[in-house]
Amino acid sequence: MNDDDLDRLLRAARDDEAPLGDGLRARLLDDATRATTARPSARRSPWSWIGGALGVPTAAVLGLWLGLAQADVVLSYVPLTDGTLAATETELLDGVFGTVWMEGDTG
Amino acid sequence: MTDDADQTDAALLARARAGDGPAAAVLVDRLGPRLLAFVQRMTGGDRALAEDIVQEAFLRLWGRAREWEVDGAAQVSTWLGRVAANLAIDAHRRNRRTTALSDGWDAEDTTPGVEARMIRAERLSALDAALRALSERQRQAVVLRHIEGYSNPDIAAMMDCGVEAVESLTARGKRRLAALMRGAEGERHE
Repeated sequence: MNDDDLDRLLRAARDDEAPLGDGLRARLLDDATRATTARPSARRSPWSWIGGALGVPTAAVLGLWLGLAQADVVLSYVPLTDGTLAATETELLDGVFGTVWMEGDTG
Repeated sequence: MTDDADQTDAALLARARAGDGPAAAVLVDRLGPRLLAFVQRMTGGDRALAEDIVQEAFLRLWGRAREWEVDGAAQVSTWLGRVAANLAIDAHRRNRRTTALSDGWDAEDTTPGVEARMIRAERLSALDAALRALSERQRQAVVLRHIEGYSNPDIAAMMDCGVEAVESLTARGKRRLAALMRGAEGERHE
């Protein structure tokens, strides 16, 4: 066999096929079925944007209210504090709300 | 309705991703046997390993189906071949197990005539035996270069080595292959 013969044989091998066998074929098709049905649908409800549009500002307002109007509640969960407002903080809150801030008067 | 056999691989893949089982079956039957023959050569005839690699390659194809552009330039068969080649090389890196060629893998032959089929099968069988006699890396380089037609830089990227190393592997591998084939021919004629 010379080099040309070998090249021809190698090229012939390029078109070679091996039967899959029933077992492998069935596994490949099972995989295809699972891969195409298991994936969640990419289609979204046309109203799904409302959740984000309403949710984000609502959460922001609630967070702001909780931090300012219910400051003592928030502070009770903050470590390394005694859960009360310092005098400087009440003065600051007086400035924000334009009234006299009483410790515990968060309602 | 369009005949499945006339559809491109990409069109069949698009149908398969939409849950069309028959389209997936046509694609598997069209690309699978060729891919399995290639991977068996890459793995030195390890049928079990080759089947695992073919399954993994198709699994990745199904996973990628949603992003595949039906009118894009990428060929499904080329993509599958490259994935399978990488998996075969990775598998070799992970474990160096090799087993004998299993029974019943003989290529399906469309050559007309019983004698021609026998000659072709015999020569391909001798080629596979000679390929198995090469070192793992030589065999992979020869199969990728001379059977699959990949470029040396592509093979270098797949095998994680330099282009010069690929050139050396393919040149030495092909020389050894030719010597082995000549030896096998001599034995047959004695």
